[in-house]
Amino acid sequence: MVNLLVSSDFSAIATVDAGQAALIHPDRNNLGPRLGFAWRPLTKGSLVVRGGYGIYYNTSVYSIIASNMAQQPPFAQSLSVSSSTANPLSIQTGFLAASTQTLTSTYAIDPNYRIGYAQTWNLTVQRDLPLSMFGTIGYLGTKGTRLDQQFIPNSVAPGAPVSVFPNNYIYESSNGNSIYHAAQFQLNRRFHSGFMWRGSYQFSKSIDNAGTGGRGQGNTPVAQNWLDLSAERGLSSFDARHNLSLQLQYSTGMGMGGGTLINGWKGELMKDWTIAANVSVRSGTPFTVIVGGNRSQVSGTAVGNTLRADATGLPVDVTGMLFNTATFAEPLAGDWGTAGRNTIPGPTTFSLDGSLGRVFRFGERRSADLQFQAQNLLNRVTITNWGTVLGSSTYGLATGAAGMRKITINLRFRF
Amino acid sequence: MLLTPFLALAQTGPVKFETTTQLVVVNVAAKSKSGEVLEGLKASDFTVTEDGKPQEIKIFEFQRLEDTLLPAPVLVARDATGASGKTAGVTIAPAKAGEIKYKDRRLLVLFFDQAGMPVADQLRSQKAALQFLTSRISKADLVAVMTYSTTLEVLQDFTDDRDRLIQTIKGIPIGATGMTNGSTGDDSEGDTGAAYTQDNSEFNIFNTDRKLAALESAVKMLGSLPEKKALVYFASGMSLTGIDNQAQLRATINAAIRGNVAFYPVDARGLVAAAPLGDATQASQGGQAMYSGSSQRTAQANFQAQQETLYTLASDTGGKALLDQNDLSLGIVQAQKDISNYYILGYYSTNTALDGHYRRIKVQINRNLTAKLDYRSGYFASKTFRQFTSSDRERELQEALMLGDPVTDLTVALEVNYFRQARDRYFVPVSVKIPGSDIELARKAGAESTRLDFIGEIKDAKGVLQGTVRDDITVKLKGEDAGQLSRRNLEYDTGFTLQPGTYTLKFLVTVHAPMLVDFGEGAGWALAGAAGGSEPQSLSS
Repeated sequence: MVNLLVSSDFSAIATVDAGQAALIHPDRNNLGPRLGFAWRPLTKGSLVVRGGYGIYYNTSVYSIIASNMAQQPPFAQSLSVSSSTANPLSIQTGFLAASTQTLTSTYAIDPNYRIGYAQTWNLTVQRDLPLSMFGTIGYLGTKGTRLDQQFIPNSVAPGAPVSVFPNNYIYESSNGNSIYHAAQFQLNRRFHSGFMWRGSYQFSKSIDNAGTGGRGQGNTPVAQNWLDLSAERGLSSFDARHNLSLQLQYSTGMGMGGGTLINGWKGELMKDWTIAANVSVRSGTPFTVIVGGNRSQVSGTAVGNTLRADATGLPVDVTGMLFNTATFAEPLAGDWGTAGRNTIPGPTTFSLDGSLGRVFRFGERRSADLQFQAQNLLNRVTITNWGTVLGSSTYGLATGAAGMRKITINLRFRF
Repeated sequence: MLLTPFLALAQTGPVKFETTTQLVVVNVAAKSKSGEVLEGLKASDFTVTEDGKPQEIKIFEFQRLEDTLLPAPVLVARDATGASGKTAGVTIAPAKAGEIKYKDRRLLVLFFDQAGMPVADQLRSQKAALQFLTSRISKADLVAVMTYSTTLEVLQDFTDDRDRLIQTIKGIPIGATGMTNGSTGDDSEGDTGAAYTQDNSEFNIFNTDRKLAALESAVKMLGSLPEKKALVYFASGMSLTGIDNQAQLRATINAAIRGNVAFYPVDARGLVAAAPLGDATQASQGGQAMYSGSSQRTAQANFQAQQETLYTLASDTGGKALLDQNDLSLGIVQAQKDISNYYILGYYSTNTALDGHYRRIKVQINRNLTAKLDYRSGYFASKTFRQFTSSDRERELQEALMLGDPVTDLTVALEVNYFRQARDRYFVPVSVKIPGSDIELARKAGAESTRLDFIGEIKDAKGVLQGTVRDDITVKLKGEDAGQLSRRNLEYDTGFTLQPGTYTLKFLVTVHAPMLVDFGEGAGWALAGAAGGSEPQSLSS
């Protein structure tokens, strides 16, 4: 594995491998305390107040870093050979030729990289209500620290003269952060007499300037301008302001009040059915407009799609369009875009899934479940994605939709 | 149920006489709106209907439960009870049809679901049970103990022997946790670092179904007693997988309602205080879900769902769930409080069919009283032998053995001896003889073969089960040797290895064969014979 030794002003780089120096200094003092409390003010009452705080570290972070570092020279080679009748290639001989391409390192990580963590705190009040219901009101906060940030040192905006310093590798550091607040409301009916529902509404907002998480790290964005990392601060890619979900279930013939004692053909017909539905309405996750075409690539690198558009100052919301395409314009050659990250509120999504099932009983021990499960029961088109690449033919148009109605039939035999 | 078939063969053809009576006992707790027990009601104040048909009340009694608390137990030197853990084979003794076995009593079952219960919760629930037994048990209370870790076990039948109960509870092994539900890879679970998380949902469906099935078996066992029973179920929550556990959940609840059992689930975790994404026993989740609130929401939803199942078990059977309480013994006290003084109503059902169907009972109050009545919602009619399934037959045998005085049409001779094998070990051979002439009857009836079922048990002086026998043999009735059957005896040999002591042996034999003549409803007959010493026999050197 190879890391790059980067000078403090990013003006020089040198490769170091594991034999020469520590590639990343160990991060040894990651204590993750967890505190929780629950309080029942009145023994006879059902009011319960719960709260807690905890530090939770990112997990499995090093494996992806290791694989990035392994794919660099001198351990990685790029070879282009072709087979011909005069020179047939085999597995044995195919990779013996000397590489004609010089591969340069494309990845470096701050040797003082620290593992990111989330500090989470919450407070919930729960109370039982009549009709088997209970309600909760809660607050949840999460602060992310030392999150992964990636940028390309010495990179310039497309169109500007390329820097004389090394500028073709991604540099990873752990200086990012995030903040999330949510208000949560629940009104649930516990499963009683065959009827249950869970209703929840959440109002939340999340802001970050880095990739949250760590597991997989697939979503770490590469910053647009390495000299202006603060411009990366924006809504998180998962930010969904309003989130309403409702889950319903009705099973016939359950419990004393649910008609379990109905006999005869009425009972046969009526019992053992279960119908369930899931409804979810959520405000859309935000999008960023980026510049496409020949300016999408950062000069001198293989990294693309980091150049954002310029904001013209017009409002994003306009009737008749998914979003106001005139809000964004291509920046001048050699300039970085002035629009922020994740500034377009995405499409509100609606989903309704349903299922219908019946249990058939054969004697005391055996039974069969027949279930029909439908996703997107109403077969309604739900747009999930918009074209946000400036200059592309799909700019400002819908480019993705959730799946159409899908019905799965399940037969489960129990014995 | 009393079934007395008479048979007479007259010249003019078979004449059939049949009497079938079914005494049905219903316990009715009558409470006023404010929850006070209504006393002084008369039989004429109640109307009982079965499947909509009015029934005449023949038995009427008021049962007064003595709620004086027992004094705290004093330590008394007692004989050590037999080898500990010798509890296999204990079952809930059934009541005979129409019998009221426990008068002026309240029946409580303590059920410890050890499967998936962490050690801390096991300790807490045992402590709660002991606390109840030492300081809150009343004179009317009869308590039984059951556990489930991989199978359902009855550790103690209903008893008021408090010392034995305490000993039983203390003897429940801590740490036997059975199978816990596996990971499903949802957002609330800790990252294991593995590239691939296996989804154990299918296993979880099976595991939860087994738990619910154990509860179902428990309530079916309790169903043979007509009294109201409260089953206090200690568990660390129970999670269902979507709607896939519905079938079994429904079966369990329905069996409880039909068996007149109310669940009083107790969340053994107490009032849970946990950090938002889980306490320190759990690894960090990693990934975006920690930052987007998804991990916390999933963890909260999982927790609520685990409590919800307990709530469902309680509310759909007329019990109450104890959630978010650290004093777990309150759950038992609640069950104790809910079973109050009640009336016993008995009637002879006008529906004499032996169809094994469920009959719905409705009790109403006549006077202009607004009373809340609590009673069992129905009962299963008796079945004729033809309708028995193999599990019915097993149960019937078990019950016949426990009732002690089954109908005997079969002559059974029992021979017992003993041989000393070592200083502390005796071999006791048991030989059961049945006269062939008894079976000859079946041969004459034209049967090809007949089956003999043997069931026996041996108990020591303290009533602790020391050994059981359950066997069957098929006797061919056609062929060369069959003709000599009437002159010979059938002999069945078995044996037990026992320690020196005093034992009681009980043996039951039944013969099943198809019949030529029709006994009205029955197309088969059973002969049963029981043998056993009423006088305990001693083994000593």
